[in-house]
Amino acid sequence: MAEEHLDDVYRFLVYLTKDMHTADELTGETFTRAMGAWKRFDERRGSARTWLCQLARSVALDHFRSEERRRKREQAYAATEPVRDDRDPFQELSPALRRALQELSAADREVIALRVILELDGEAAARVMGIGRTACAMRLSRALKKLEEKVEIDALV
Amino acid sequence: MRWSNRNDDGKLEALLSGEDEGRLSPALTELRRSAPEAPAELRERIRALVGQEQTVEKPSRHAWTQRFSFAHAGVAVAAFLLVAVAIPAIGALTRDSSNEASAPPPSAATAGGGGAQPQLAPQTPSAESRRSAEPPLALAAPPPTSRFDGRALKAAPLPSPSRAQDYSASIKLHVDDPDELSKSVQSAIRTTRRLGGYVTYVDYGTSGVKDGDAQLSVRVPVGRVQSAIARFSMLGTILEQQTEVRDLQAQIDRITRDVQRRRDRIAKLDAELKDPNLTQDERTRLEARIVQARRGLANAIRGRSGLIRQSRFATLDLAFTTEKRKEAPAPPSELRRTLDDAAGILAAELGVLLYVLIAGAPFIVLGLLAWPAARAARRAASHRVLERA
Repeated sequence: MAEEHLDDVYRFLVYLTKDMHTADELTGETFTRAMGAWKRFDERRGSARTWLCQLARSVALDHFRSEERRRKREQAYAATEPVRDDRDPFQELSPALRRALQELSAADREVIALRVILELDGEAAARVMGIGRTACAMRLSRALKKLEEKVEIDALV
Repeated sequence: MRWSNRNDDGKLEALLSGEDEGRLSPALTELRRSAPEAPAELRERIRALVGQEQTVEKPSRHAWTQRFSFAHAGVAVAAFLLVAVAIPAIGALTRDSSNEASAPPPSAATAGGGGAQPQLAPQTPSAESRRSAEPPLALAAPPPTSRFDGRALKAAPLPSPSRAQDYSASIKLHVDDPDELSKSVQSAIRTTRRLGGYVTYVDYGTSGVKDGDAQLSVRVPVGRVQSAIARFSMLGTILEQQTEVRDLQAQIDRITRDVQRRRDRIAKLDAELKDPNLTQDERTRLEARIVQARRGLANAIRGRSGLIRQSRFATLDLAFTTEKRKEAPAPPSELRRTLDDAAGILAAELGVLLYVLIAGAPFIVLGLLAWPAARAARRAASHRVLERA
């Protein structure tokens, strides 16, 4: 199960964090949690992939929150940025698309990752995000609109 | 065509599935084609992690540690209902059995009407005084539904032939109309006289042609009281009957001893009076004491005679009425009582539940409102975090 869905979880976290190093760490954390919570997994409530993506999202949210707290805490001390992976996770994409993705928010990238990259259906993606199917469709629509606009602007420039 | 101009759910799905060849379609294809893959080192790490946790097995689907489901809710509701029904049922059954345990034995309960002869006469002198202090024995007969059927006689205990007793009984009879009332009263008076008794009180009255009442108080020789009761019972339908027997023998015995003491004292005083050496004053004083003692003796003898007379006649109070007694409802059956008890306890439980629901309704409503609100707030907070990231 872990082998089967590892790439999906990793891709989802890459899109959420825009950082391969962080995605790597969070993927490990996600599977650690999954092992601990395996007894609670109920396949009637969704596939293993959906469940792992839910865990991954929760892990990523915890990460973002802790990052926010850390930034606020260190602003007063003018602390340096944490060590980030210099590798661009989207380096294989065309420059316009890469820049557009980089400019999108994590929320937009999240829904694109779930629906486009992982190819989850609307219901599964909505379950991962903890929202309704219609709300999920609206978010995807908005995210794609932003992506399209940014790609077009980049092409014009 | 721009994506923003075709914001439609169906077209969105078509775009994702590659059926829609819009301007964004190549971008999505590119995104899919160049999706990052987990590095080999991460893959190894996860493999090792899973290897450590291989022993963790998927639990059985029927385990109770599973998430809450409708089946569990059904079982919980069924258990609650079972307890709610079982508590009153057990309570009712327990109460019934305790009632049975505390009920008097059948022989004692039917002593008034079952023909068992009550032991009224104390047998030993030492018990006499104790018995005389006890309240009189009163026996009530169950109201018959028809004319004399022998139960009235069985309910009336036989007077003791060896002991003096104050025997009294009251009988309330129903007669059909004032004509029968008049005949019954006359018959009761005749019967009383025929039995050697006498009437002490009569109150007879009618109102209109249908209603009437009469009260008689008669005294009959105690040896014929059973016969009197039997005959009076035939004058109408018995509505109520009560018999009261009070022992007088102990009181008579006490007075008899007192009489004997007084006689002895008088004899002693008489002997002293015969002494020739007495002075006039002493003689006068002794004569006065003898007079006083004789007066006391006469009073005691009179009192004893009165008690003996009282014990020779029984007092019977008869009441005749044309008004029918309202039939008492039949006592409920065991099952009916159990069901009533259970229903009562269930009603009390429902009352408590209703009270809790009413008292807790604001909190329940707040909770119902707060729960989705908290969920929405948590979801919005998560979204904000992702928007900022």
